[in-house]
Amino acid sequence: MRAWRIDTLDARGGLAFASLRDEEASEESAWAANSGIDRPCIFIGAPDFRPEPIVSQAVAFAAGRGAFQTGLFEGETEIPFPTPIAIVEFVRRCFVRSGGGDGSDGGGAGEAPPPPPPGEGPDMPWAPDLGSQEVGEGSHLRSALLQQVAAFASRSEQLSLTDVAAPWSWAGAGTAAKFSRVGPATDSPIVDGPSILAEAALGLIHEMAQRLPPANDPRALAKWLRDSRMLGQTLERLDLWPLLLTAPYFSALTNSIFGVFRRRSEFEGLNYIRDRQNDLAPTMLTHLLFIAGPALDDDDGIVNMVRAWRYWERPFGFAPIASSSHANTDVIADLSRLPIPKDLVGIVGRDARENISLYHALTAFVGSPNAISTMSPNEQRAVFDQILFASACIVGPDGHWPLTSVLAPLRQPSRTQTAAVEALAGDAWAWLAEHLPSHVFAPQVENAILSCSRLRYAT
Amino acid sequence: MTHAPRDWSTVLAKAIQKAAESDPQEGGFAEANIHAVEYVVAGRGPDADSSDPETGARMVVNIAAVHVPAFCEASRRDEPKPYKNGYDLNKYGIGTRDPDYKPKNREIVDDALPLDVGVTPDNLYFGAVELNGCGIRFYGDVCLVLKPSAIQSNTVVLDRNSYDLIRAPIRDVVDAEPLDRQADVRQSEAWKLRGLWEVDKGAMAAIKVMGTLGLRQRRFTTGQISEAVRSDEDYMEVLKINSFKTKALQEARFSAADAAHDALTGDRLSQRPSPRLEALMSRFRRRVAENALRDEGVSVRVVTTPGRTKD
Repeated sequence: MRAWRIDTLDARGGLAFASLRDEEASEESAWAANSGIDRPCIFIGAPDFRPEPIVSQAVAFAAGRGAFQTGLFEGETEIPFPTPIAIVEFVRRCFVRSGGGDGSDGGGAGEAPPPPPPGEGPDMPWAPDLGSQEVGEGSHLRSALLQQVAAFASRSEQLSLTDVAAPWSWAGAGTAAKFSRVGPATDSPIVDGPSILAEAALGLIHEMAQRLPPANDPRALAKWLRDSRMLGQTLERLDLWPLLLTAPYFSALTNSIFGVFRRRSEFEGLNYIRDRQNDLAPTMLTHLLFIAGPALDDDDGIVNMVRAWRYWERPFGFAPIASSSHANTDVIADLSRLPIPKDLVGIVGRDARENISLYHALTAFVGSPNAISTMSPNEQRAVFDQILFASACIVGPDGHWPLTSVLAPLRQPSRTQTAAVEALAGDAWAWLAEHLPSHVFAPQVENAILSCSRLRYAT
Repeated sequence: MTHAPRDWSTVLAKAIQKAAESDPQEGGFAEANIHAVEYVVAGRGPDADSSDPETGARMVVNIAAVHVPAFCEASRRDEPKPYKNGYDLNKYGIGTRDPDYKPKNREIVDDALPLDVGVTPDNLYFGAVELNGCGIRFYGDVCLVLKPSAIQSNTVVLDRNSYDLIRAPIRDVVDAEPLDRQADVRQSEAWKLRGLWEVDKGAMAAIKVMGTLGLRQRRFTTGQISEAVRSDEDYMEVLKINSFKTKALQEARFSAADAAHDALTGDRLSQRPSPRLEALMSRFRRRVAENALRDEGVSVRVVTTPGRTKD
């Protein structure tokens, strides 16, 4: 059967050659006996993934001298793709999915989350009942998207090696409109956008809090503090603190913050705030751990910070966020420093390590949304929350400047603040929808894509 | 069956003589230009007498940035094969075909390779001869440039991609023979493509450059020579025996196109339209690769023009 087939492929590198031809015959020298390799082919390469015509397969097969595999097979069957566009989408999805394995090769592995402290007791429980209900007029993205993922998996099951690919649209999950554009609203807002982003943020805070290293490991502490404050300043940039400091999120936030003391009692400055600042302790600790302030072992610095905070808080009822920068120089590096909740690491594969970052989760999901099919409904929900949050980090708020830079606990966000977060969620979804698969493939091909997060440059 | 290696200097001399016979002035330019190519390939510059240790033709390989950290880590661990060929990476791939499967094309070509006795294809590491460019970018965005000291003088160089052995016109020559002779004829044809790194690459490069740029009453520039020695995917192939480590590298190169793409991606992060995920991943992986290489003491440059490289 004549079809588009992979000549050579470096799935992780996002590089491939493909041609329109019959299936490779199994007999020796079949290529040479038929048409040889004087057949035009196309080259597909990251990051543009546009097919580029090449006059001969000689360059394609020479790629097999290095990190390119020859052909793509299921058993002895060479997988046929109906169109070049389908093959381009396959290569793109392989490339994106392979991001789930980045950083595991050693050698300048780049940014990574702070590791969980070794040999410590059981994790703090993370099962907050946030009571998020699908109420209000507008679209509910979370449930709609998860239904679409299930439909995607079902459609895949209908395909086979003789009918490998079908176009797919995610429009059923909601309109991918740019909500921050000025003008009359033509689309209903994503009403669960704020809760999706807030719950993802809480999960990240909880996981990061659990990884606070001991005071006698200053190097680990410096890394943790840098990463945790990057997270907090990201939340500021995304205007999420006002939400997190009110019901129903504030109590979950407080539990995570105070959970630090179950593992770490040696930080005098933290103990001072917990024991002597009463109602302001949660906000002060949040600020110190996740936004800015002295180092955690700088006891005098922490006392001075508390005095300054009291000065601001008394007359005004809030304290300014004293972060230093909103620069977003490499958001991928930032996402790579954020550990996702432990329960969700399966998104990158069954044998996933503990130290899976938000970058890994984003690429693993975008490349293979159906990877969540084996997870529980709650885990699926939480994974999607993380993915939309990661997308929000990339698109950022309109103009990339936060709306407010104050911490005012237990004050309901204004309608403006809520609208800003809804717009951010809408923009994040619009960006994410651009990247989700445009084709669904037969299960064997979907499995091949899934396996890309396990590929390693090794013998 | 014995095979006589080609005398590339004689081939070159005949080309000059032929040019001079048709037009003495053109012959003069041909001779001067051929010497210029040989000088540049040797790292001496078009009209210079002494060679610059930083310049001259090199063996290069291209690899996707995502693999570079593993290559660096394997080098640091002193593993036997830090850089890997298709045989080493037989299990690197997706799909469910038998991992011991050997591509038929590769077997046919490998059987014909003009190798010395005792050398087997599974221990060959293929590269291209490159002057100032960034290699065959189809194969990866990072171009690893090997030091001259990492290449033995008797390393085999082919004047083209070895897969040309199963392409027209060589394939037509082979196919015209009876089936039982085809393998021998293919090998004979392969030996006609063979030269050695130290003694032949200058003449082989000069023939390739003359074939690309043609006879002309103008002197070649370094940039023109660089572009012709490795023009797109038309390259001279190096068959290096044994793998190599980061210590064997003179430098690594990124293309100006990738550098520009990365800069645009960074610019789009600060204001919309937000960059695509694939662009962000590529930029991130290149940065991680550069980090890994620099940790190993390998400098990384961006090729700005074919005539030279700059930091």
